[in-house]
Amino acid sequence: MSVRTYFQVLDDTAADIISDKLDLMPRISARLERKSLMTTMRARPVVTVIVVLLALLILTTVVYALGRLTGYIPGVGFVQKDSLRVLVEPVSQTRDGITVSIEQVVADSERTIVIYKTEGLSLQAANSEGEGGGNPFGSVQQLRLPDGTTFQELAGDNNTPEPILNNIKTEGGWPNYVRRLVYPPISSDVNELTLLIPVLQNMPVGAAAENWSLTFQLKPAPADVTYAPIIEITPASQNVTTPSPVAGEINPPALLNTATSNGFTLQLDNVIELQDGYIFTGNLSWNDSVFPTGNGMISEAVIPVLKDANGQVIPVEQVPLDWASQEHKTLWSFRTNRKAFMGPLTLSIPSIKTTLNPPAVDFDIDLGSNPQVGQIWERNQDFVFAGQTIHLSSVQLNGNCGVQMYDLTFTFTSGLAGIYAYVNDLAPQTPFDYSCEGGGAAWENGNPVDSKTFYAAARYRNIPTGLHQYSMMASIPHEVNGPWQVTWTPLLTSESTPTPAAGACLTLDTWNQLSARNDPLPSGLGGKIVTTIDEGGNLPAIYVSNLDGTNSSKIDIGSWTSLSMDGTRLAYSGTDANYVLNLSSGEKTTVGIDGYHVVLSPDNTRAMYTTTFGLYVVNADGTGLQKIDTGSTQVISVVGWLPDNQTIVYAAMGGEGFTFITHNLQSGEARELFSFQNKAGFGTISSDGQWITFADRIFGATGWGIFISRLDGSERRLIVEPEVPTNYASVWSPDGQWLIINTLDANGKEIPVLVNPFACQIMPLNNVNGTIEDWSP
Amino acid sequence: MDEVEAIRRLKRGEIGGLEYFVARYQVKATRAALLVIGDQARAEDVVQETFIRIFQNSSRFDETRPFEPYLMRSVMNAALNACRNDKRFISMESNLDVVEGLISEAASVETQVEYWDLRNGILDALQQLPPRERAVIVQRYYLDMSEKEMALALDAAPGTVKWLLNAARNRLRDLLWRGRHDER
Repeated sequence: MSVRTYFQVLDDTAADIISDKLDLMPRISARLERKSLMTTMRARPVVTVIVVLLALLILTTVVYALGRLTGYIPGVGFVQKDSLRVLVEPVSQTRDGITVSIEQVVADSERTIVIYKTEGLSLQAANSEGEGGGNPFGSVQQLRLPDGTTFQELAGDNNTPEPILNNIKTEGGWPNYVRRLVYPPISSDVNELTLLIPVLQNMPVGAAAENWSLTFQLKPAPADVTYAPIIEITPASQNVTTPSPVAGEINPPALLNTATSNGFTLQLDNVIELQDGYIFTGNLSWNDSVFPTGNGMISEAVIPVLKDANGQVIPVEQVPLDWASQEHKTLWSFRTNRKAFMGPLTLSIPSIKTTLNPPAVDFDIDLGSNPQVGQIWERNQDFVFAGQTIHLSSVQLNGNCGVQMYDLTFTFTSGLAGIYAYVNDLAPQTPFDYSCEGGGAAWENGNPVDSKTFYAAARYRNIPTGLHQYSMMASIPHEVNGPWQVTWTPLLTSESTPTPAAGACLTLDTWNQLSARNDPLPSGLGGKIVTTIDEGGNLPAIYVSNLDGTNSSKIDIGSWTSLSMDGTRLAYSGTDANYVLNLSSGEKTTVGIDGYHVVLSPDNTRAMYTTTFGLYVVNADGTGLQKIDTGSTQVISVVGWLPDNQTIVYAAMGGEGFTFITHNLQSGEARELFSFQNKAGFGTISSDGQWITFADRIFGATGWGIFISRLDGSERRLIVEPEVPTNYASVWSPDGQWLIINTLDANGKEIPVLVNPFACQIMPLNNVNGTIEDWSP
Repeated sequence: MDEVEAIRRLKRGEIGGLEYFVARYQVKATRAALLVIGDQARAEDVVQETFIRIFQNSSRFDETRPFEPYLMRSVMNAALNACRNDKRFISMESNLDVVEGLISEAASVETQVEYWDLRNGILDALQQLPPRERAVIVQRYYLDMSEKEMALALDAAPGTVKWLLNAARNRLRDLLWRGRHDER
C-alpha cells in the first residue's frame, strides 16, 4: 500500500536539491534592472551623444534597406525584384519513407532563402531515443556551393524589420514541418546549390534517415512571380491631399503616419498587402525626456490597437519580426485577416507604462559590535526618488534566509503602490551573498500585506557587524499618457465588409457572473453523468452520478471515460486495459489492452478506440478486433458514432490541425467533413448525429473558441468565446439540446457549465465536482 | 491580492505582480525543471528566465486563465530547450518503466533509508531518459496534468502522450516492484 503519492516522491526527490527556501526574486530583479540599463538612455552626456548618433545611423540603415527591398513574398520575406533568382524546379528526395522537398528558394543580392518541407516523419521516431538517446532537435543546416564553400544560417543580424509568418511551422502533423533558412547572398554566377541537413528537425540522432543532400538550380525570376506590394508610408510632414480612393489602386499615404507626444513617437512604416489581409509594420521610438531621472525602461509591451472608421476594433495578430534590437526603438508588426475595411484605419496607443530608475542614494547604518538575530534598528529616514518619497522605517536582522544565512531586511513605505527597492552593501563583510540582494512587497502566506509597504534585503553568510554603507536604488512606476495615434486609409476593394459574427453564448462576462448563481436545473433535464476527479494517483477516479451531483458513486480508476447511449455501460481506459463496465451487473469486459478513448456504438454492440496511430472497432465482448483504414494519417482522435450504428466519426491530424472524417463500416467509405485547428482533435457529436462540437482557433484571439456546427461544417456558431478558460472538451446532453462545458477557475478547479447552444441559456452546475466526461439518460 | 489581481498587476508592468507569482511558484517550478534538466544551477536559470520572459510579455497574458499551468508549460518548454545540446544521457534498456517503477516503489517504502536510496535512483533513472520522456513523467506525476492537458501542453496529440505512458507500464512497474522485493 502506498504511503505517499507520486507527487510527494518526486517533490521529495527534487527537494533534496532545491530547498523550500529558494529565492529567485533578487536574481530576477537584477536581470530586469540590467536589461533596463541596456535598453535605455543613460543620463551621461557623452554616452547620450554616442547613442543618438548610433540611433541616427541605424535609422538611416533601416530607411535605406527598406528602400531597396521592392517586394514581399509571403512566407519568404522581403526581396529585391531586380536581382532576384528563384528555383528552377522543386527538388525532393525520399529515403526510408521520408521525403524532404525544397519547394521555394529566392536569392537576391542581400541573401538566400531556402524553404523545405518534410513528409513521412513519424511520431514513433520523434519520440524514440534514437542512437544513444539523442535529442529530438535536429542539427545545423548548411548551404554548399559547387566549389565546396559552405554557408551557415544568418541569425539575428538583419536590420530590416521583416515580418515573417514563421521560420518553422508544423505542417502535415507534428513532427513534420516546413523550415525557412536564411543564408548570405551568393554570387550571381552561381546557380547550383546544395542544402545539407545532417539530422532532420524534431528527430533524435539515429531515429530517421540522416545526412540529406539536396542539390537545386537557380534561374532569374520570371516576370510572373507574384509579389505582395510594400506600401511604404511617406513621412507625415509631407502633407498629401488624399484623393478619392479608386478600386484596385494603391492610395497615396493618407493622413498621419507619425505621432509624437511626451517624448515617444509612434510611426507606421509600411503596409504589406497580402491576398487575405494587410501586414502593418512600424516602430515606437523615444528620447531622453521620457525618463526624466535619466534611467528607465518600458515596463509593459506596447501593442497598438487597430480600429476602423466606426471605432470598431479590428482583430489583429502579431507577426514575428526578423530584426535585430536597437536602442531607443521597439518595432511592432501586426496582420489582419481581411482587407475590406471602412477606412481610415487608426492605430493607437492610449498610454505607455514605464519604470523610472533614479540614481542610487547612499546611507550608513551602524549595526554595533554584537548584533543579534531579531534585532531591529528604527530608522525613520526619508529618501526622494523621482519625486516620490520612500520612507525607510526599520532594519531587522533575520536568520531565516537560508541555511547559515543572515538577512538584513529593510522595511520601506511609500505613498505610491508598485515601487520596488534594492539595497546593496557597498563594503560588505566577506563572504557576502550577492544573490540575495533586492527587494519587493511584503509577503504573508503568498499575499502582499500592503502594496505600499515593501522590503529589501542584503544577505550575509556571517552576522554583519559595525558601520556599513548601503546604496539604495528604486524603481518608480511612471505612466506616460498619450494617446499616440496614426492613421492609414486602405485600398478600396470589391470585397464587402463582413458582417460581424454573432457573439458567443458563454462569454467571459457571463462566465464571471456565474459564481453568484445557483440556478435549479431546467425542468425535465436530468440523467446520468460520468466525472473524473484527480485524487492524487496515477489516474483519476471515475464517478457516476446524477446530473445534479446527487447519488455519486466511485466506479474505478481510469481516464477517457464515456457512457453508452442508454446509460447502462461505462467505457474507460483503466490502469492496464480498456474496459466496458455494465453498470447494473458490474460485469467488466476488456476491449483491448492498448489504446484509449473507447466509445460504444448506440446499440452497445461495438466499440471504437484509438491507439493514436490507428483506429480500431471491436465487438463489445472484446472479440472481432478490426483495424480501420485511415490512410497515412498518423494521429487519430475518436469522436463518436452516428445513430445508424455503422458510421464512425474521427478526427485525423493533418495540415495545421485536424479534419473530421466519417467512415462507414459496411461500405468502407470515408468522407472528409471539415478541418479545424486545435492541437488535440477533440470533438463530440450529438446523439442524433446532427451536430458536432469542437474547439477551433479564432483569428486575433488567444486560445480556442468552442463551436458547434452541422457535420458538414455549416451553421457554425461560436458557443464559448476563447477568453473563457475551459479544457476544450465538451459534452452533449442525451437529447442534443444542451452542452456541458468544463470551465476552469483561477486555481484550475473545474466549474462545469450547462449551455443551451440554440437558446444561449447558461447555468452553472455548482454541485458537480471534477470534469464531466459524458452524459446519458 | 489574489491571482487575478496579481495578473492584472503583472500586465500593468508592476514587478509586484511578478513577485507574487515568483513567491508562489518558484520552488515547484524549479523542482520541475530540475527533474527534467538534472542540474540545479541550470534549473534555476531556466525558471528565472521563464519568469523574466513572462514579465516582459505579460501584456499578452490572458488574465482570466490560471497562471500555474501557463507557467509550468513555459518552464517545461524552457527545460526541454535547455536540454537541446545535452548529449550526456545514455539510454537504458527499459527506461520509462524503470522510472515509473522506482517512483511506485518509493511511494510504498516505509523506511527513510530505503526512501532516500530510491530518491537517488529516481533522479539517476530520470537522467537516462530522453528529455521529452522526462518532461512527460514530470508533467503527469509532478505537475499533475491530465493526459489531455499534457497533449495541449506538449503541442502533441493526446495519443502521443498516451504512447509515451503506454499501457504496459503498469504491468512492468508491478513486476519490477515485486522483483525488487523478492530479491530481499
